[in-house]
Amino acid sequence: MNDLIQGLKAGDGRAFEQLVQEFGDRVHRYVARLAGVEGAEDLTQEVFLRVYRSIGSFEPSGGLAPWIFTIATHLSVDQLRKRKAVPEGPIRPNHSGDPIEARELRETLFEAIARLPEDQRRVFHLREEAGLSFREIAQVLRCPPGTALWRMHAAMTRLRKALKAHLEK
Amino acid sequence: MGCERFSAARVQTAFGETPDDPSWAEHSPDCYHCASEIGDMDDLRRLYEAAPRRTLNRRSKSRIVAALKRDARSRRLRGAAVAAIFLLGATLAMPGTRSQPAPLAAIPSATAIDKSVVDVRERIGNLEKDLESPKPCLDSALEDLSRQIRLLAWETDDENM
Repeated sequence: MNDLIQGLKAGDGRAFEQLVQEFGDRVHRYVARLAGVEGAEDLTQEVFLRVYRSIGSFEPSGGLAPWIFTIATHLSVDQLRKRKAVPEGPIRPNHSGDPIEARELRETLFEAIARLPEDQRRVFHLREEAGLSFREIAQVLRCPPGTALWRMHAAMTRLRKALKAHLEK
Repeated sequence: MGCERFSAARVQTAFGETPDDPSWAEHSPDCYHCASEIGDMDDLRRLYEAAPRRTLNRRSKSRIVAALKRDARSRRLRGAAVAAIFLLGATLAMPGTRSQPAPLAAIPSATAIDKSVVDVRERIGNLEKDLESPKPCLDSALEDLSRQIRLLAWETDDENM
């Protein structure tokens, strides 16, 4: 990771490739969830440009991933404010091979995630899309790790209730 | 049961992390409530993960890398331009300190300033053309430029004397 940081500081092309290879998909999924699918690719590019431009101020003690996702979070929130976009709600993928019950259950889950309070939804996506540990999530959100865990517990409780209600229908 | 205080530990376990709470190890093996909640969270995560995941295709990744490389190059160019202008300013101010006492000698002729500005512009233009290997090209160009401006300042000094 140190080589990557040194490479970025030197403006080395191979470091850019490694950065995008390592974090590209995760950043893209995360910003799409937070700020909406429309313009998610451009926003992903903006995140990486911002990472490169401010790499000089990066503190290695904090870890690269939380730092990148802090930038991604700020830019996504700005984007949402600017165009008052709707965050990605339920996905309606082609589950042609899935039994109808599984498809409906998954749609219920995604609808419930879209309805989560913002702080809980952010923790959920930082874990599931960005792949951060709870300690790293706490760094991104500048809160104690216990708060990140509490928010995830609250989110899981809501989601489990939504799925149970769907199954009982 | 007293399970409420273990909510964080249940989340950590369900997400594959080791809980920080040392009493969790004693509590968890015999607690049906905790095991059932962890099981529910597992199911929920599996359901979420089974949905197709959005990925950037190779073209999009290349586009981002290209944008980063472009940005790096233009930052280097800007840096070089600022350094050149700084160098020009510093060198033009130098004769005054070398040939004391002659405050007027510090002011180079208008032709000398124009000549050096044209030279800086030309150098920046050359750098823009030669972006394939910007680092060595910038270094040698800056060195060359600094030598030329220094000579120019010397000439200006002589003119003013």
